[in-house]
Amino acid sequence: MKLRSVIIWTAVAVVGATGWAVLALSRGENVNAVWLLCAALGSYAIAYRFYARFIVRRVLGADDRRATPAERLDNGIDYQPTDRRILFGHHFAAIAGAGPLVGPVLAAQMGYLPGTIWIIAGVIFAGAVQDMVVLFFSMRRNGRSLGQMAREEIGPVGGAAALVAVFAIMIILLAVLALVVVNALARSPWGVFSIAMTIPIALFMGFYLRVLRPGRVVETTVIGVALLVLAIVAGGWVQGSSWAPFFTLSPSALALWLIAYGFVAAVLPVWMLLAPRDYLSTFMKIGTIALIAIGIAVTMPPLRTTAFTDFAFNGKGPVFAGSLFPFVFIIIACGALSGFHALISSGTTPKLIQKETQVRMIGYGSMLMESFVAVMAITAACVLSPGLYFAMNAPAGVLGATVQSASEAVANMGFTITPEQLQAAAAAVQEETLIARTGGAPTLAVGISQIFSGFLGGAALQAFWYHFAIMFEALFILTTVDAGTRVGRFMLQDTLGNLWKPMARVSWWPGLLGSSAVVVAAWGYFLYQGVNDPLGGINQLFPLFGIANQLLAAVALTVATTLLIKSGRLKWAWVTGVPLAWDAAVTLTASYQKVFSTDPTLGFFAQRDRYQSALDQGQLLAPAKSTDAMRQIVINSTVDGVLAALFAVMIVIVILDAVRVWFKAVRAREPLPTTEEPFEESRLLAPSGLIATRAEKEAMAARGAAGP
Amino acid sequence: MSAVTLTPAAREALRDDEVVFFDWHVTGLCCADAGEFSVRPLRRSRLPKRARGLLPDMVYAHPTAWVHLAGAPVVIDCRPLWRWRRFTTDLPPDAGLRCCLGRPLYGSSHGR
Repeated sequence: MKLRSVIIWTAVAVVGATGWAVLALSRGENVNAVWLLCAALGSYAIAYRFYARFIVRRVLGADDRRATPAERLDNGIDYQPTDRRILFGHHFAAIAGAGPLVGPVLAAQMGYLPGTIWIIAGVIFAGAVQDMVVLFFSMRRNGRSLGQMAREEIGPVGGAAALVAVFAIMIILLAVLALVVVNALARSPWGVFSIAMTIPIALFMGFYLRVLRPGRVVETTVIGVALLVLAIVAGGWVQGSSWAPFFTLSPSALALWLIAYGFVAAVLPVWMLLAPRDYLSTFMKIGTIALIAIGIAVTMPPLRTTAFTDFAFNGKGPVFAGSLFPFVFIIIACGALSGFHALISSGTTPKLIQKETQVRMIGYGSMLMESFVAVMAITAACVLSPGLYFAMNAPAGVLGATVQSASEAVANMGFTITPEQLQAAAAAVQEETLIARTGGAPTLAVGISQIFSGFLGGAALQAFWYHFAIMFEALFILTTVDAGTRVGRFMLQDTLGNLWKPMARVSWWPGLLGSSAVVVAAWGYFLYQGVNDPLGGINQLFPLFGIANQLLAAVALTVATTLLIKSGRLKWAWVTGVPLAWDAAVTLTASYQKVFSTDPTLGFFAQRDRYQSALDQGQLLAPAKSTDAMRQIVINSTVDGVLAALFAVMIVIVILDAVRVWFKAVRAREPLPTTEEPFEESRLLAPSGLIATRAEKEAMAARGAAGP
Repeated sequence: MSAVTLTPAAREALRDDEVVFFDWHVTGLCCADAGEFSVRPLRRSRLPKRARGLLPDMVYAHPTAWVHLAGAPVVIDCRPLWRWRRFTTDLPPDAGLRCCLGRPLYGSSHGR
């Protein structure tokens, strides 16, 4: 290593270490958010430079002499590999979704430190490793998906368990995300109007681009973004007008509208509504993320939460039950490790990648960026006063309906916020109330509005920025609801097609409508249940979503570990094996506690038993106010408990099946048959990182090969 | 060798300066890369620079759509709706998402 490199990387390490030291050791004073950024960015840089490179070179043995599927698929007529920078941007835009925004906000219940440590350490050793390794193995197998690899490498039992898990995860994911949107928009005419306007705006964009001005992408985008901003501004006018009551919807009404939207959006042609909406949301997402980063760097806000709160240790938090281990890891989910990436990223990106070594930039690098999004989300949550945070994120059953009752409830938790401060906070963003606005989205929006108004427009624009942030989150959550329903639909069609032949005809409209209806009904049931749950839908369902996502990550890490062992890389199996062991421990512990804990605030069946006994004795237990509500809690707890048990069984099945294969591979005298495509010499020269090295530039210039 | 074919109705409906274009619409799915196809006629001069050929001079695709469609047996038809030329394919409605999840393009009974 050259002296200049040594100096630079030492400086990076010092910056990162200083950030960590300040975060970990500061007590009794507000730590500035900039230290959080230093710790994150320094750690990411070191991990990318050293650990990711070690994995690509030594563990995976990425070979740039080997043609990738993108090169092999070339039909000899027009080979056009996708530039790595476009692919990086495309991959990052695709993988950075709602998960890294919502989970970290909820995890702030435990203080800023536990969540931050997992977001950064987790992504470095688990999440980014998973993404890169699965991408690599999929690329070596012509872009086979995770499900296919699970079936081929582990076996049909493991593969089937993975398929069932994926379907169940999809339903819970859609319900939870829809619940986040409902909680963000309920009783907010400004928000409902703005989001409702995105439907005609997207329809207009779809027809404009398709029929009126085909191919005019930039023009359509400019018009779309302008209309979107106008919709946000107009929401403020609507709120103050006689139209406001029409757009003021209760959570139940909003849930029903969302269910109807989900069904209609899933059956319309994709270019008409889904694609333009997703296009708009991508712009807003990337723009907002960039502005948050700039805002934190410019305004340097202090973190007003402590490093740890008591809830990290006593597990009695109002946002979600359970102590630091395992629940902070479960709740953060996508911010550090996400099975979803491996599931869908193994479908398209492996077929577009130019050179094998680019998996580091695209697989590892993109996930680091997503983790950075999560860091900014936890920062936005922690710049709020703890009193305001808990007043927004504790369930309505705990806080009550008035600012007085909320203030008292927060005081009982050990934090302070006066009724006047609560009213002022709501007035600042021009919302009727911020009490019990659970789900993470409103909290993130308030944090973003405070950061943005600190450097863009001042307090006068705080309400606009709040609704801008709500719009940005709701927009791409809604495209997830649409796309997720479609995925669930074809999974169901494929399964039912084995039992009833007409369903196997995937273009058969009655089958399409029927399976759409079933999938929408499934997530709609959990959504409606969550909206009306006296214990709080997010409190009950978000841990299930986290467990499901981490279960899928366990499947991905199991596949990756299996492939490492089967390909003769046993001595490197720890690279994915250690995160797998950690993930399995976290997920199984969380499932165990959710199923078997005798604490009714934690265990679903303990909760069920407590409310059932009270119901049998004719008693009402808070927060239920009626026998119907009591019955609702009993039913919800039973269903949720069964799901938590099902997820635990799935993960055990997959891992046990994989361990069988590991033993077989280790005991075999020769390497087991591989499903890798045979080696084919590459004719292409392209850089492996974002910036071409001098050696790479010289080689390309000498060869006159394609690529900058 | 491309497996994309056009029916006589589709060939007749295409104007001299037009091609059939498979677009790719990225769909967010919480956090993950997914997308869907759509097909439409497009003037050759408006073809995106990065479009890749599936059937020389007649059918092109967005690069991401191309990697999923290359070699896939797709039939393109045209069913006019009054004066509107509606190009359709025999791809199922969720073909793109199927590809992204590694599922058989035409459903489990066909396999791939």
